[in-house]
Amino acid sequence: MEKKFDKKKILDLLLNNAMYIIIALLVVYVAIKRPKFLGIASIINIISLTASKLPMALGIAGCIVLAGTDISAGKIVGLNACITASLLTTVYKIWPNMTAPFPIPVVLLIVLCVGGLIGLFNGFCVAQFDLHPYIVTLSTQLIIYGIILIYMMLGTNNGMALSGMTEEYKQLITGPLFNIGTVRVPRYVFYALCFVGLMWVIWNKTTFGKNMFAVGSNKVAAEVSGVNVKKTIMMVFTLAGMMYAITGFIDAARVGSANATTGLNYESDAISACVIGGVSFVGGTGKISGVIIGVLLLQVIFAGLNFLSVNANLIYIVKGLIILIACAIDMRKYLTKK
Amino acid sequence: MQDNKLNKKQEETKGETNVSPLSLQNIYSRINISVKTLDRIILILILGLVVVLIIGLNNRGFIVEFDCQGGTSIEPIKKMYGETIGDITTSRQGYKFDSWALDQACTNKWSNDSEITNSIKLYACWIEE
Repeated sequence: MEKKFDKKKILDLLLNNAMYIIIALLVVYVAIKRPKFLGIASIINIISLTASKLPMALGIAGCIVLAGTDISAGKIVGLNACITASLLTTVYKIWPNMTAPFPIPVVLLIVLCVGGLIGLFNGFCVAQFDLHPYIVTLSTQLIIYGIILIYMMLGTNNGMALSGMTEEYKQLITGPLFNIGTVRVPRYVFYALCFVGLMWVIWNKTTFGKNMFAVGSNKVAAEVSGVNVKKTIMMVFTLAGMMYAITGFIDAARVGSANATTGLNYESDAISACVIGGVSFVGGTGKISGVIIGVLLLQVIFAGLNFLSVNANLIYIVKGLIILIACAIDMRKYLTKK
Repeated sequence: MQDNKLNKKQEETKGETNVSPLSLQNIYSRINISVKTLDRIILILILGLVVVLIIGLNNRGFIVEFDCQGGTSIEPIKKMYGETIGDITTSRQGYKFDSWALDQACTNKWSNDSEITNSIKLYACWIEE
């Protein structure tokens, strides 16, 4: 009886931590095949990629804590990247009447408003009409994609990619924060850390954060306890929208261009990172540290596969399987607790 | 008193067939699957992931495509992580080849010594003679 119990415990441990085990094995394999993978340049590359995806993951984590989701995230990132690239450029294609690029704070404010408004719309539809977040954000995703395509056709651009960003903007985002040897750490790593700190305070030290977890755990109990459930849902989605906008603002400089496909499938990475990091679809559960770990581990996987020159098309299949495994493990944890 | 309120609210929602769509926990709680079956599904998925990774590792290489923008076309080539494209150039009547770039407008230039870290498409940049 005791042997059976031990076997069950080991199986539980292995399956509940299957993702971490797979990642650890992959890291060991890549490190053996390509020792440069553990070099300073590679590690800083992974940290930089993690930092670029973190604001988005932090935003979407809030939606998952509410036991929902947001599949319009990638498109919101794309729209804001395109807006940023069109206003902080030296080549005036979208707005040919522009004589100078917009001031950076103004563009940041514009994208925050755009992202926030879209998030508010999502939250409003979910809260007021009791529509499933998947349906609402699926619709929003398509609407935003249409807006992006129309926006990119404006002026003399005709759907081409936007590039030629101002040096000031590029330096602000991708300029060196500090150097480790000859490898430079970009500034957006620092910005990502600031957002992590901000979100940690919001999640753990504000009434809004506590309400978010309460609504995610048990909507009825939260309502009875005096939480304004609808307002909380709208605020979570609005905050998420603003985080996606910041991701788009950073991405336009990081990638060096923006086009209609910018942000494509970003939400799948963010959602899988959150689930890997312990933000459960059941709702009411999640930690900022979990989100960071999830994003980092996912970037380690993709960087490792990149180092091994694995075809990018195959990586889509890998991503899909990772999401399925992470969700199945999440479901398993819920069922075993029950 | 709050317990009474909670009980009352839960009684009210008990009879309803429309559960809150926001809450996935209702979907999870309706799952009629044993943990054992779920374990098997997880193992199958992990096996699938391992198979895909093995296939990926046996078919390695990034594709570098060339858009010669009016010049003599070049077939895509396969390169490994960290390799360079070497001395690949193209020609076009009335123009001199300048360099490769990551965008059609040639604002993001690509050096022949730059390391390949992903599948990319390079655009030829020309100077009129």
